[in-house]
Amino acid sequence: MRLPKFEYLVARSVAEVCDILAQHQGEAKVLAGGTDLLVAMKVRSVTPRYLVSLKAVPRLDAVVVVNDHLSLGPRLSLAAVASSQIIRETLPALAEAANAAAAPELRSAGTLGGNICLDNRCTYYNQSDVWRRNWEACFKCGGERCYIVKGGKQCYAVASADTVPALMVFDASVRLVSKDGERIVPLEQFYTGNGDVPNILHAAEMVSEILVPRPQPGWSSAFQKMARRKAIDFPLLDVAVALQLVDDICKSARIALSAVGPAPIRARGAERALIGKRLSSSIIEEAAVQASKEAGPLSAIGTTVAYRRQMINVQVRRTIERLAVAN
Amino acid sequence: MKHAIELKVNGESYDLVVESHRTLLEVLRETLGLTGTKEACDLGSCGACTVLIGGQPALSCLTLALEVEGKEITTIEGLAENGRLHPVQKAFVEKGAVQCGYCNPGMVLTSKALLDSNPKPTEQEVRQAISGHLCRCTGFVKVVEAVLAASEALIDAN
Repeated sequence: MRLPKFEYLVARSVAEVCDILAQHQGEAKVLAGGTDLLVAMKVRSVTPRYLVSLKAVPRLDAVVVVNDHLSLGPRLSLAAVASSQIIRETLPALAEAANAAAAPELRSAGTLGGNICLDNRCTYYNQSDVWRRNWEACFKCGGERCYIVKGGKQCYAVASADTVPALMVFDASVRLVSKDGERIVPLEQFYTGNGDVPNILHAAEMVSEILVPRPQPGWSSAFQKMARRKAIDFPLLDVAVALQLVDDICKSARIALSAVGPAPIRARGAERALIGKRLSSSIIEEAAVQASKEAGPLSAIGTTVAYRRQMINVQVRRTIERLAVAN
Repeated sequence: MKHAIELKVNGESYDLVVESHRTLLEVLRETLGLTGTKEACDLGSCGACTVLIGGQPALSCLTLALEVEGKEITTIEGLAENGRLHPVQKAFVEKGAVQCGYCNPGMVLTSKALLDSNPKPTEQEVRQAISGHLCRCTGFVKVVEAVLAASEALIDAN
């Protein structure tokens, strides 16, 4: 498969990237690792006229510890996130999540920013150009129907990024910059719930920083990925849990799920089931059952809907148990 | 849009004029005639296109040639010295890890990179390292045996 033709531009600063994105009115895209973008271009899902490379923009792949938070560069490779000593010690679930993504070579090239901005996935969308031309277009292909939810009025392509639920249990935010200024958006609000346009990033914006508050003492975290194979695959289900345990009582809880719908979700009902309680197996099971009810319509791609919902229960339970046992 | 770039491959320098949309895989095979690197899935999901960039395994089908100007690129052709197979290549041959041959260039380069940074890997570490590579012929058994044998051979040689 040949890439479509485009013009290749090299920026030397974030400001220059923003100038280029603004100048080219939605026809330019940022090139970081390219592991999602170039694939999409090969199958003609996106055909930007300009790619602006980040390779010469300095200081985009640093891990900086500030007083109360960590500042992560968007061009940090997933491999670097997985192996960073600071991230492994301070944000263990994030290191686990980055290490669970894809495969070694893809993690070396793929970036944290790219994973956060990963396009949503669906069996009816992630096909070759020729395949899609022979089906009536679904919403994500510019049509008027969804093949996942019969009679569905929106796109249900699945949010498939592994690092996102881990970032969400740490209350991470992203800094979005453009020529007109910048905004800091909590990660949970970055996603739209619409599989067709999964996040709120404007065509002239780029993610310049990921901000993660440093967890207070007493917090621990874990991440669990379920996929067909042990490598390469996108998730069938991701669970991230962060708990603050004080004297064996759960003072605070964060549970986030990915690959359960068009947006990653916090399972707030499940979190409430744990707060103020000792983590007995019945309490954990209650939270796990609650979590499985909180995901919206599930796709039957690769498995049955009933199995998928049951697996939310199982994987949430296992992940909480890992933390309960460790503490 | 054409760009004049210098690519360093297997210790040699090439002055090329390359269009923006050419991947490193295409330039290696079609412009430089280095067909040892294979195109299989062309989507980053199989590892057949793997080369070493700065000694690290990378997928050349998802790398623009323009992105790697100035970097040291090693293809499978760059492994043997004066016709003598690299110990990893030798182990692959001896252990029967070469069947159709298509996964081998990628497997061998990734294995070499593994042993360069971890001379005595466990079986689990070998399997992790090659987890981005698909092999339809060997069931991966022969590949793992070859890498472990190569690790012993390299340790004995040093």
